[in-house]
Amino acid sequence: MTGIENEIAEPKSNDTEKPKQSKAEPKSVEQILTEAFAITTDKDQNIKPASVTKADLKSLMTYQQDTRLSSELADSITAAACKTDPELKVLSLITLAAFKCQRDVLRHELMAFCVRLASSLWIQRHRGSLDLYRDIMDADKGLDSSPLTFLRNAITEQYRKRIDSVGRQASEAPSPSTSNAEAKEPTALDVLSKKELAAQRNNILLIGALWLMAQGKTDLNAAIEFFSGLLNEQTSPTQSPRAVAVFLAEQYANQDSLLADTIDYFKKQFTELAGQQKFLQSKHNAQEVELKVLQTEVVKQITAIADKDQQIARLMGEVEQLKLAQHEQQLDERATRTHLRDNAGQAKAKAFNLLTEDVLEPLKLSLAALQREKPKTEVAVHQIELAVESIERDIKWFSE
Amino acid sequence: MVQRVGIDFGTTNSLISVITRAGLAKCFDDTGRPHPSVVRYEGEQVICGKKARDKLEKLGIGVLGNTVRGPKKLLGSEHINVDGRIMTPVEVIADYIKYLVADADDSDIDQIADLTRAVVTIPVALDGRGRQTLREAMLNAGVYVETFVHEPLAALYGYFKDQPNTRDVLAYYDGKMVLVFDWGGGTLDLTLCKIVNGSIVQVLNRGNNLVGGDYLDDAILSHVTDEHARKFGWSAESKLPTNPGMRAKLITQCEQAKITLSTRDKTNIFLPNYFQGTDEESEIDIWLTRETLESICNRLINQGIDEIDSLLDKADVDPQTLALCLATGGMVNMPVIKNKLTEKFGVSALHISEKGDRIISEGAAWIAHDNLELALAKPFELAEARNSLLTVIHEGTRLPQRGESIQKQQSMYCSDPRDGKAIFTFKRPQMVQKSAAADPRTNYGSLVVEVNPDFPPLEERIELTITIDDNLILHARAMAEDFREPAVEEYYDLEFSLVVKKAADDPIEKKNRLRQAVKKSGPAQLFVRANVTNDKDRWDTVPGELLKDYNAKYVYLQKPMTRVQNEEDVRYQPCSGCGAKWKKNCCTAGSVTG
Repeated sequence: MTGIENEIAEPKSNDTEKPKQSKAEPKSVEQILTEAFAITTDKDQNIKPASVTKADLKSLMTYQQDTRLSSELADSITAAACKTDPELKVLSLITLAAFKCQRDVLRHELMAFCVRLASSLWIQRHRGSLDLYRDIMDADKGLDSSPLTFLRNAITEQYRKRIDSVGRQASEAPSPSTSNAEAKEPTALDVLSKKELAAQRNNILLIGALWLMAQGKTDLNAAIEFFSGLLNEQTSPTQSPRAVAVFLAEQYANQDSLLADTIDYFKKQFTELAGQQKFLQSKHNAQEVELKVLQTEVVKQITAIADKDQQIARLMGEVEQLKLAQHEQQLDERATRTHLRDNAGQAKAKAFNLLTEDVLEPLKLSLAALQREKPKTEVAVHQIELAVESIERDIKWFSE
Repeated sequence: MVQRVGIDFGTTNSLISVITRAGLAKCFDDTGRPHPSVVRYEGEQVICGKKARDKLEKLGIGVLGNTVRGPKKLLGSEHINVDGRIMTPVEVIADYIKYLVADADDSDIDQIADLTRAVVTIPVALDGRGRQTLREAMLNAGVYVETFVHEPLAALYGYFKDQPNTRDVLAYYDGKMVLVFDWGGGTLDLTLCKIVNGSIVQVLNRGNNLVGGDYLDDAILSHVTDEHARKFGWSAESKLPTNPGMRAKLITQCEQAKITLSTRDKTNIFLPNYFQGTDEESEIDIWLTRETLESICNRLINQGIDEIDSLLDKADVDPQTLALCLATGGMVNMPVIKNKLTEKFGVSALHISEKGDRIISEGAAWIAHDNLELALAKPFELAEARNSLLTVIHEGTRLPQRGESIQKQQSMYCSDPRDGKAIFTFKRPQMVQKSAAADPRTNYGSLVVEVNPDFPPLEERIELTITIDDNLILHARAMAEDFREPAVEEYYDLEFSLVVKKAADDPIEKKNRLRQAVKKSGPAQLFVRANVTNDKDRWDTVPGELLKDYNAKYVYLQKPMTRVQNEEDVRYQPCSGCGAKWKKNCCTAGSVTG
């Protein structure tokens, strides 16, 4: 909860004169603004937080005159707001009212004033910027889904660093020294706790979103989502359906149609999302079915590839075996050829040796023996016998 | 895949064979005959084989003018003079092997043989230097010798491979003794083998270079020419000169007559124009009977047959117990030799190879084809002091192939360094599988190493290195660590086994040391007593008198003396009775009797 509701002051008994005065003479815009942030003290001399009445807010919304708000006013209010509205709760209410302002020029003036005030109060106020949002948005290169997202991210990041540093400081130095406190009196803005900083961040974001809407730089749906996100942070930890029911009854009793519109918007959104979800679910189911089909196909293909691989390996093996067999066959053929040639060679050698050594030589010798004056027939006969024996022996060999 | 070849480099003939994929042998011969081992140098031309043999004028083996016949016989020579040309045996053999390889390469049209790697056969008596020379010559001819194998062993394996089922035949002969008898033109080689667990194990080898067939042809030729001279009444002065080229023809006729007389009772040697002249005196016409031939050859044949007896005697084997006698070589076809062998071994045991001229080459080719390994047939033992035997290399140790060697190192101590010599005596059992202490041993030889005589016993370490190289030569090298004078010996008469069936290695560690039984019977003879041991604490191996001196010198290191050592010591003492040196019953007071 940002606690904005608490900042809208109800008419109090000791301020009974104020409404009378307003009835008589309506407050000017400057007055409303000055009063809202004015420094007042209670009986214990404590500074009261800034507050604005519903009537003042309504006045701002329905103000009928264009007014220019001076920079001096802004400076003076800034000086007061530093102490009375460090969390920018009231400023966010005023910004909302300004956004609802019916007069364009006044609305523009009020928005500019609120932005300037916010720029003077937020954590990076030392930069002296008059429009922190414009400065931030100047750095937007359109990389985020929407300008609002960019703005939210940029601001959140800057606050995160500060919150972290505050957390570290708190753990390191739980109590600041007296001398330091005396040396420089810190403003309310300087001593914001983590929680306060978070509240300030949310209000800065709220004002920023309104600024973007006023600039026409954001989609309304995105804005609704953004604001509902902010609202989400205010969800009560002890949610009471009864309180919700009563609240809705009150809204009905007040005949405020905005809540009904809001609920209707979200219902439509929900219906649309449900339809979209249904569509996506069916699409998802269809894709899953398709995926399964494809997976089955992949498995089938992998099996087929494995089969083919096996087949290839088997065929390669067969090819290798055939090659080996062919090689072996060639070697066998070579061996057979060698032996055939060897057999032929042996037969040739046998025939040659028979003729030259066992036949020709004895015949020559027989001839020589017969050619003598006294033919040596016995020698010739012996040699011829030897030749015949050799021929007979070898004929046996040849026939085998 | 091309197959490694087997080379039979014989004295008279040589042959290269290869086993084809068909499981048959192919011999690279010369018109059906092995190549004659003849190299002839005519100027720059080298003529080998049959062409060179046909031009031979002279008989014999060795350098014959410009021709070398049987170059294997030159393996031990440093240099040879071939018709004025100084050559080395390596060059001549390399020339011849180149011829053999080139001829085989020409014949090997289908490129089935790897002629660069060969199993080469060697005679059993070829010494270490001869093997080195042969390997070098082979290498020069482009042939790497994968392993050497003894010729008879190759012949026997060739015979077994020729049987229908080699394994069955080996199983049949398992545990039996086999004699291989290779009687060729140049040498007679004998190997006694035993088939042990599918391996052919050499038991004993014997070789004789003086009873080759060539000497027989020479004797026949002399007989024929003498008969011719007697027929015409020639004297030494009136003898006609021989016509050139005719001696070779007559030798051929003599060889032919030798063959003819194996089937006939008589034959005629007729050679016209043998002598220079025109009439009948110039032609030889002599009738030769089988009886005459046998009487001419008787002395030579008896010498050969005696070699068998000597071998069997030495191995203590009865010829009748031999399961197989494989006879190969040209000589064994002579009826007289056949008869003598049949008479000795019986018909069933004797097998005369029909392919005596190629069985060795084919056997070598089969060994190459079957990738057989050689193993040591008998353990290589070292005799220690006090007759212990230390096995340095166990039987069955695989022998190195080409480019390999095996080496064993052993530290030894000299038990008696007084003479400055440590004696290593190497032995082997006489029989295979008979390596018990009581089994007879054969000596390889002794290696004498110089040691420092001033060292006490068992002090100086002697490093003994035994190496067997790929030429199957055993090199024993020993050196005393202090004296550092190396002594080297080579032994080439190792016996091998051809490992046909590889048995699983015996997991039981073989016993390394045996105590040899001393044979006291038989004639007294001098023998070298080993004086080394591999155990530094074996004080019982130190001679008694030396140990006594040692004990006296080193009082604090005294060693106990055994009974034998005490006896030894006493023997060197003068007789206490007469003061003389020890003698059996030298005097009545003799204290020690022998």
